[in-house]
Amino acid sequence: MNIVNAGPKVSPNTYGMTTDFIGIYLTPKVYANNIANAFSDALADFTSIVGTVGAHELTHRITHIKDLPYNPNVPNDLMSVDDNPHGFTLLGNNELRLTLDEGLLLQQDCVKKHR
Amino acid sequence: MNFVSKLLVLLVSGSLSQQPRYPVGGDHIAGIIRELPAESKLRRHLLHGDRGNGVHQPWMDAMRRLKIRRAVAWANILFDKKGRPKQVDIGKVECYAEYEGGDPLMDAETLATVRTSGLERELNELAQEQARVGSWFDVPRKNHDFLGGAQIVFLDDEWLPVIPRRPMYFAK
Repeated sequence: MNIVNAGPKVSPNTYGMTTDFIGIYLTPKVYANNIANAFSDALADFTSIVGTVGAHELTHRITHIKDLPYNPNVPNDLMSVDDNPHGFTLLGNNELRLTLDEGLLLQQDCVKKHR
Repeated sequence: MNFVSKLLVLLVSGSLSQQPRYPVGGDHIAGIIRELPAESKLRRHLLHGDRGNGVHQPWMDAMRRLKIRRAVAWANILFDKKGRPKQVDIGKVECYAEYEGGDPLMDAETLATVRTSGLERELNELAQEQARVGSWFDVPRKNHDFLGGAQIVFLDDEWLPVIPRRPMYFAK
């Protein structure tokens, strides 16, 4: 994963991106400048926000889990944050988490890769 | 000479009006921290050193007069397939007596004053502007235009952090 600044061609404004092309996943990116601009009032929490975005993008890359629809029963699911009306509060307060199933899948894939 | 002194007075008064009204991290913030409950997220942010931009806006005075500490504008947004906003409509503006949590104010008199004083219109216009420059956590992949939204938060105090300062989009 690369933590980089988004150039002018990255539109719309986004905190991170994982590109896949016919099933081949490219290196995920976390856009530090976009996060710093959006969270200019919370720079003390900058690193935790970069970490949360990074965890979301790495989960895409490693497990191939796509962005999931919002489920009110799991309101802090890290993988459904794109559809979550309160995602910004959860992100700012460091309350987004992988669900148990997502965590297990990530663990299995990591163990497989390091066997 | 007279002209030069007038110019100096204007320049000095102009620069003074740009000065922060409270020192960052001073008594003002300490007072707010004392007021907030121990489990408050805002309190935690303030203790971490998070602060607003210190730019006082006239609508903050209007909010204080009405004892509204926080207002939230809900934007309905039509995005193009790449996630760029095409059309923004502010659905509602909710007003709260607290900086976090709580229920929206339902008092008919306050809501009527919010409307007639022009505060609602002003927040609506600001929310329209801000909703166009939001960010995605991660750009959704769609093959067509889609509906989404954003919440735009206004606080009555320029030294309190708005997190995030640029609204974060969500898809519906």
